[in-house]
Amino acid sequence: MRPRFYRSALWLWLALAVVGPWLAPLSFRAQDRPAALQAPSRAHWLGTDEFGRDVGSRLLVATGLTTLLALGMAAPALALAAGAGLAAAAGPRPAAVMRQCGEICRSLPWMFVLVAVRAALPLDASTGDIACTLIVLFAAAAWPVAAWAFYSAGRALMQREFVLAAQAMGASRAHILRRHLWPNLRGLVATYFALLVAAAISAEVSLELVGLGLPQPWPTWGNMLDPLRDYTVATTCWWLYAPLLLLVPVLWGLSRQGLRLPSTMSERANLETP
Amino acid sequence: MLLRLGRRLAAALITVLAALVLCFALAQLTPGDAFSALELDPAIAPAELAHLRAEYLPQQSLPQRLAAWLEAAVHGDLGVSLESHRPVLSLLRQRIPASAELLALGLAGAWGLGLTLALLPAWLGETGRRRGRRIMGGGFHAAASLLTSLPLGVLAILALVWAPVGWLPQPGSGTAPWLAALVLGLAFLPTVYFQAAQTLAEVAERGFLQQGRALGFSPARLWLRHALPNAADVLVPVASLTVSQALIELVVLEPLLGWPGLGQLSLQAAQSRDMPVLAALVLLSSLVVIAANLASDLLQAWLNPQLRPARRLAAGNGGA
Repeated sequence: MRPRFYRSALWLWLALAVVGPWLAPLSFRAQDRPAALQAPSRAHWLGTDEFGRDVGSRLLVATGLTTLLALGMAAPALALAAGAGLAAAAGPRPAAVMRQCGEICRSLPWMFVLVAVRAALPLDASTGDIACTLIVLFAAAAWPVAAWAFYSAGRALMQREFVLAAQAMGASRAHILRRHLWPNLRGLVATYFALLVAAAISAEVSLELVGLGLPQPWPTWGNMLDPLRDYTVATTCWWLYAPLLLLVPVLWGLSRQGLRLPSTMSERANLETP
Repeated sequence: MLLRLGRRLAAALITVLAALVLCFALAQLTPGDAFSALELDPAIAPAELAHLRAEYLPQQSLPQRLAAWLEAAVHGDLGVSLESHRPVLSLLRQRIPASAELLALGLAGAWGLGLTLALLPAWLGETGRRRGRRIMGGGFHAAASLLTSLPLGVLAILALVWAPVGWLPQPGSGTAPWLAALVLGLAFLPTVYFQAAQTLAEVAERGFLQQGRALGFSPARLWLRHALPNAADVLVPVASLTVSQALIELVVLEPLLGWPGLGQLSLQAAQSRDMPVLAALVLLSSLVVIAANLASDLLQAWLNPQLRPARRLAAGNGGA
């Protein structure tokens, strides 16, 4: 399908994430234990979960929260990567420092660090603290790959004629960065943003399923899937799979954006390899 | 080469130190400890708690603690678990085989299947079936895209629901990790497939394959003997990346599927705030990642003549 189709689908998802929480017909946290695990009906369009909460309303709120968290996780990672990568590319010396830092960050076992941090946080850590932990650790873990891509693309541009001409005319580094590198790299940065958001959503869902994500009662796509860990629930309550209806297309669309990376060998030959 | 290796090792040492400093600093900065949960127990007097803390949690500054821990670690003593009171080393030794088995099976499956899927359309195209090639490539592409859209945790849950009962890991019965390996393999299949297909497509545009065709090489020889080794240069670093990534995914996969490996140990240790075990796990996983990176570096140097020392090239041994 056309890239335009995926792009409009992604815009639709963002719109749903913004408007959705206000559209929720019922409270996302009001429990009704006697009405637990009911199939979809007039009152509950997508049924109820194991505490009798309305799955449809929770899904709407969860879309907003998951999107917010994923964007919040991806944005600092992207900013760090773009800053480090572009500064290194336009800088006076090829970036040994950035590369070493990236290498170290890439080799650190972030998942185990996350587990250790969650172990050390107090038992009643607030939702904000937990979200901050996720954001910081995701940024630290995810920036090196993107930074390296920006750096090598930037280095390749720095050898092009228009940059050499600008340098010959005495343009400052900041000017070259702003007028020559950035306009050419915007597409790459946008693509990496899509990939980082997809990675953040994926990580959030998986972490939620082992109890390391946002705590209840806040709904996210991940913790709405949590009851499915129970075998009988998973085989009988098909309506609890509802978050997958949003999760899978969104991740699909985001990774489609990522597949448009410039990657033919002639293009890559211009870039320095690590 | 030696210089490169030396720089690599220095960087590896810094990485391990950074990981440990991070781990210790975080443990220091955050308020809870292994005995926080006991504060809620009315049967335990505060004096008793203070005594426990004094005995098990050393009251030293961060560098002192780190230095002491490192010194003991170098001597093969990783401390004693606060929860089970067993030496951390024996805990790790008990869990490592399970995780290693899972990693090896899962990644071998992902790489074997991924490379096969990437090579099949090329082989079809070679034997003149253009249409079959297009359909097959499109199908694999769509399947791989769908797999990328399923986070590992979701894959694990779906596997638990749909797998035959005999496949589920039984605690202590020593069943093979088929199910967990299958999930891990499926999770890494898209990465391997996309990278391999893309790299092979790029290799296919180069002249030597055309020449091979003109010389009448068989498709198998063309792709396995000539294309694949040239693609290996790109694929080897990807392989080391999948190893480190898979190690991370174990933390999600093992608890969900009940596989008694390092990932499950780390989550249990986290729940009981067992810092000695967590520190040892951070050390171990960073060592594995570094070993994988180093192995990929050496393998790449061995595969790519351009990275070899100059005198062997001068001896006329330069062709790939």
